[in-house]
This record gives sequence, structure tokens and C-alpha cells, in this order.
Amino acid sequence: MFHLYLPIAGNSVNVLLIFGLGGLVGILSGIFGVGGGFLMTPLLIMIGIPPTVAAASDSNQIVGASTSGTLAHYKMGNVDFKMGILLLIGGVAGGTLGVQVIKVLRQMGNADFLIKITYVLMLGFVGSYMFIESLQALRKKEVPAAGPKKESKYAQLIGKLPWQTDFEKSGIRISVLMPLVLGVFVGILAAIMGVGGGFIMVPVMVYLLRMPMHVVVGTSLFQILFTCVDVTIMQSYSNHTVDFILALILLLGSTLGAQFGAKISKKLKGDQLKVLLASLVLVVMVKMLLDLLLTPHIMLGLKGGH
Amino acid sequence: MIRNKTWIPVFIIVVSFIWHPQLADSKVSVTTKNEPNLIAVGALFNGTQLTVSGEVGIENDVVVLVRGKQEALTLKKKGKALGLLWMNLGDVHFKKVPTLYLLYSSETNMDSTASNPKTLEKLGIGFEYLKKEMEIEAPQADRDRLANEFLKLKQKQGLYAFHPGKISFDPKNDTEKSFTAGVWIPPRIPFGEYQINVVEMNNGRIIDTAHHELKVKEEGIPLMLSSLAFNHSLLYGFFAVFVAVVAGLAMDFFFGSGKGGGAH
Repeated sequence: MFHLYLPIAGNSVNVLLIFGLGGLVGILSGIFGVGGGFLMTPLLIMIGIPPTVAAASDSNQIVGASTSGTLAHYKMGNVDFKMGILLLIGGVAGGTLGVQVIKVLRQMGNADFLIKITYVLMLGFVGSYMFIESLQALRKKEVPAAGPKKESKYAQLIGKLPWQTDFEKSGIRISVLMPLVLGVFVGILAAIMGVGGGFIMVPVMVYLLRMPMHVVVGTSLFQILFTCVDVTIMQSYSNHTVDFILALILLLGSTLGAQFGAKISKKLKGDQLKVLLASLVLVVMVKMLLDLLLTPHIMLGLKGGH
Repeated sequence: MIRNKTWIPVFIIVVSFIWHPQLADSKVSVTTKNEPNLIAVGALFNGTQLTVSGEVGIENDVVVLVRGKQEALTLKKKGKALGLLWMNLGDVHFKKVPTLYLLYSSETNMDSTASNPKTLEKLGIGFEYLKKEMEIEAPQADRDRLANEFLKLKQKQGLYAFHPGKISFDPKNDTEKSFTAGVWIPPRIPFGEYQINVVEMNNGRIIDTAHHELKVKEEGIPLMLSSLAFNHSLLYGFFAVFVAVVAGLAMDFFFGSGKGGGAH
């Protein structure tokens, strides 16, 4: 009962379970502006979907969830299109470069080792920094959410960069180079780690671009939408790994979840959002670390996935 | 003695003798039926029960094996990097491994059945024989361990299984009894042709064998979607994106509009 056969995954799944998983990740996506690929793919693998199909089909469902999420945030005035497009241009360039980097790494051997270590270190660093910083900000309520009072060397440095321009939605003035270069950086990391990059992009926007948290979420979703459209088409064309039925059930859950998520996001304060996202990132990091440290039950694994 | 049941195709008996000609002097034969012998995988397929039944001598045991074609498979080998962290350390190539291997026996202890191991080996029965049969591209010292891990992985996927004592009997008369094995076909079964082998045994001696074919194929929506995905992959990709965007917009229309404050 409630089972459907997935032709590309080559397995049947419980529709309610997939719908529920989609809903859960959609809520997180709507609240934090992350695609949720770093959570969804391992969950799908756990219920018996082949790793390559899980990752590709998840990208397909993120297209739906981020369309809905972007629109919801756009209506609330939370999408900085100018910033999003610049980040996207950088991201595409970085992603292309990252794919080449991973090819070279694979030829050298031990690419998996590097990927896992990058993953754990990035998650650990980003999660811990966000967690500590947001907790401190929550305690000292007089301090504004995004910016510390002191004019740091970093702030002085980015102030000197050429082509300074206003980003009205974000309420900041920075160089056009900043989102382009940071987009490239996130694109490279995302390609190496095999994820959409939302959970790296959000902290980059908050801490390095100094954007307000609510605009960060909407803008991140806008950028993820385009990244995942590209991934879905490429994976369908090259690897035949997009399971349309799986994606459809997931996205029914996730688009619904994303709507609720966007509303929850509006009710929470920026620092509360950051603490929650930091906790989530840290939980995933601990789970990955345990996978690395505990002896696996079976010493062989299927190919593909993150 | 071959029983003449109307539902037994003659060719099965012929094939069974060709398959194992040295058993021509057997006194009791196994007859099997599998219902259905074609498994159609449609949109609601969630695995299915395959019934293998027949009649054997009153004192005999039965082994049923559903086996897929041999394939080559590449898997990732897990090992310790820097002596501390578990991760994938390279590929392992397996050859001559069946896509499916479901073994049912009436005896709870197959070792007693295996009192004549060479005959069982010839029939490819038992995981130990499967391990000997497979080819692994790895140093000799690692072979046994990798073969065991391979069997563990396949069993976890539900594609390999051994169910001792899972064949039921129903006495028919003083010399014969009927047997039934409910073979569970897992939902992730690959499409293709399979062989159902039934062996009648007595104290480790093979009395008779029978052989059936089973076919598993896609139909309906799964067939339509996978042919689109594989034959028109670019179109499939655009279609997948289109539907996802439409679903996202529809969700926003139903749940989001009117409350978000309108467009800017």
C-alpha cells in the first residue's frame, strides 16, 4: 500500500515516506535558503535509492522547491537579483573549474579522501563559527545582527576594491568583484563536494558579503534554482540518473515545506536563524565524522553519491 | 516415475534431463510451477511472491534456487586512510556474480544436505559455492574477505538470500508429498531472464531436478519513462525541470499568493 515503483532508481518506495522526507527538507530549505542536498541525498541512500540516482533526482526536486521558495521570498522583498546573478556567474565558472579539479584529483588517486576531509572541515568550521557568533549576538542584543562595531582589516580591504556598487535590496555597497570571486570559490567547493553549495553560500553571504540574513535566504534560493536546473539537465543527458517520479514526490513535499519554511523564516530573528542553521550544519558534520571513525558494517559500497 | 499433470509442459522435463543427464535413472521426479512465470513491473510494483510447487517422494527434501544471469560489477572498497578514517579506497571488480540468488531449502541445516558437496557444487547451490565461482580482481589474501563482504551487501539489498527450512510439505499419499516454496521477489530485481532450479534430495543424494524460466520486464508508466530517459535523455531533462518549476509555481499559487504582499 502507498508504494510506487521508480523506473530509474529500479526500486519501489513508500510514497508517504518520500513525501515526508521532501516536506522536512523543504521546510529547512525555506527557512535557511539551503537546497538541502547535503541532508536529502544521504537519507535517500539510506532507504535504498542508488547513490547516483539519489543525488541527481534530489537536484531535480530542488528546482521545484527553490522555485516556490524564491517566489515566496521575492514577494516578501527578500531576493537581491543583482547580487544573485553575480554570484551565479561566479558559481558557474567555479563549478566548471571544480569539475576539472576533481578530475585531476581522481587521476592522482585518493580523491575521496580529500572530498570527505574538505566536507568535514568546511562543515565544522562554518557551523562552529556561525554558532558562536550568533550566540554572542543573541546575548548582546544591542549589537546589530550582521556587523560587528569594529572596522576590521577585512572591511577596510573590501572598501578599497574597484567597481564599488550599491546593492539596494541588501542595503550594502561593495565591489562587483566580491560576489564574482566568492561565487567562483563556492562553485569550486560545491563541485568538489558534489553538492549545490547552499550551506557554504549562506555563510559567505552573511559574513563575507555582510548581507542581512533575510535577503541572504531569498537570494541563495534564487541562485540554487539555476544551479540545480543545470545539474538536472546535465545528469539526465549524460548519466540517465534523474528519477522523475522520485523527484516529483519529493518536490510535492518539499515545495509545500518550503512555503511553510519561508513563513517561519520571516518570524524568526536573523541570529536565531543562524543558530538553528549552525546547529544543523554541526549535526551533519558530527554524523559524517562518525561515519569516518566507526568501522563500517559492510566493507564494500555502491559507486556514486556524495 | 514422471507424473502426467496437464499443467506440466513436456519441455520442462526434457530440459531437466538435458540439464542434468546423469540423473536419468531417478525414480521420483520433481514437478514445479511458478505463478506467474512472467513478472510485469508496473507503477505499483513492490516486489511479489513467486510460488514454486510440485510433488516429491515422501522422505525427500527439496531445494529451490532462483538465479539471475552472471554479470560483472564494480564496487568501492572501504578501508582506513591514515590508519584512522574509514573511507572508499579504490574500486574492486567482481566477475561472474549472479544478478539474483534466492535459495530456499526444506532442511533447516544445509550442511546435512551437502553430504555430497561435489554434486551441489555442480548445481551452484549455496553461498560457499557462489564464493568459489566469482572472480575478484584483488590479491589472493583479500579474496575471501571481499567475497564475504559482497554477499553481505547483496543480502542487504535483498538480491541474495538463503532461507533454510522455508519450504512447506503437505502429505499426498503413502509415497508422495507436495511442496510449496513462497519465493519473495524483491522490488529492486533487475529486468531480464531468470532460472528457477528445483532439486529433490535424499540424504545428500540428488534424486531429481527440474528447471523453469522466469522473465521480469517493465510495463506501463515505468516503461514509458525509462525509455524516454534513455532514448531521449535531453528532452527528459528539460521535461523534468519544466514539471519541477510548474509544481513550484503551483504550490506558490495555492499556498503562497495573497499572503506574501504581492510583487515588487
